[in-house]
Amino acid sequence: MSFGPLFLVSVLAGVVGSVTGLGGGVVLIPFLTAHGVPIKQAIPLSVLSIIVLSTSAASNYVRGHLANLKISTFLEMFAILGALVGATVTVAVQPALLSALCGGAFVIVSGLLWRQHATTWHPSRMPDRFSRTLRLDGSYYDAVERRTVAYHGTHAALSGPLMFATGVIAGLLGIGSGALTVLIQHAVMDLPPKIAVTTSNLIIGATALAGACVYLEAGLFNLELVVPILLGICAGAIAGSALLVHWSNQFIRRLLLVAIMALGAQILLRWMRGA
Amino acid sequence: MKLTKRAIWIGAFDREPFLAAILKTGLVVGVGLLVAGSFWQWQSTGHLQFERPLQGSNILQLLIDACRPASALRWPQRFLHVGISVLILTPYVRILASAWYFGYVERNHRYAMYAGCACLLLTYILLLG
Repeated sequence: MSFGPLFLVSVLAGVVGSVTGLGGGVVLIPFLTAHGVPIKQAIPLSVLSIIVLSTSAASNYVRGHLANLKISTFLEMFAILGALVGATVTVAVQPALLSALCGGAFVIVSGLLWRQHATTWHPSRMPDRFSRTLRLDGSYYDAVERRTVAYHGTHAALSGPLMFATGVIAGLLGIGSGALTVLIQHAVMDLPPKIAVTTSNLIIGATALAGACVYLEAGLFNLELVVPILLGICAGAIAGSALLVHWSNQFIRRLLLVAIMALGAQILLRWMRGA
Repeated sequence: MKLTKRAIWIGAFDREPFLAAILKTGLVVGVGLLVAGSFWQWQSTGHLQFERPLQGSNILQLLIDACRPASALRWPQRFLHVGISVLILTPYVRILASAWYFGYVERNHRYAMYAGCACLLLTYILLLG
């Protein structure tokens, strides 16, 4: 595969990944597999690209006070533990079946969230006691609404174990951790889509690190493809993080749900083809 | 009221710019090494194909292999290996720095413990091989 097209697709993956918080796999994996790269090589490349995407986008989000460091610190502890368990433990569940369930869940959950008629996001009125203890709150300046938006993370006691499950799935399948991380923050913790996406960008880098180490040991990184992908992802993520600031929460939410639905459909298709 | 040296230092040391700088530095160094290694390979061979796969039992071994003088790797590939290692290690350094910041600067022991736990787990994962 030549450098140019791979670089350009990676730029697109970087933009999509950084504005949705899903990582670049949703664009990269179908492109690579369609061009003859075995799925066993495409997933490790996607995992490595997530680390670079996370670093590129999160550096801008953190500096701009968009990503919440307390929320990411609390959640990534569970996600990393889950990734470690998922990558090392042999489970009774067939990975193919788990993959299909995961894909189906993405399609259904994003469909249900799409049907919610809430046009604007509102902060939760009363966070629970544990969430208040953790001080999972913050504020950011919304350039679209031209005001400072305050938010409070809630349901922390549920989000932690859910992030553990996300880590296990990411460790087992090598996919889907970004989608689950964003969904947990937005649908369970009641965070605004912008904060869910930017904080997810920070968390997925740490979760992907666990997978990258396993793939490194197995020698599954194709060096010829690594360079154009990582350079493209980096450029795309920087561009995406500059774009996100100028988009409304509602637009980001819609974009996010479409991307999660596409990811779910992709996983289901791969399962049906037996890959 | 007279401010202590520590209070002045903490006041000038914001969490977000500090961690963003760590991420940015890791990114610039890692990507810089990738670009330099690829350009060197392309200049010397006319293509971007490498003779040895990217493989190591763990990230530390990969770095040692790339940095030792008697390494069997050619210089462009060494640059690539170190660049990829730097990129992989950047989130780890960010979490390590978060643990230090929460514990030492903010004196927020709860979050220092959370970040410390994440750091310990990642240390185990990085040295697992």
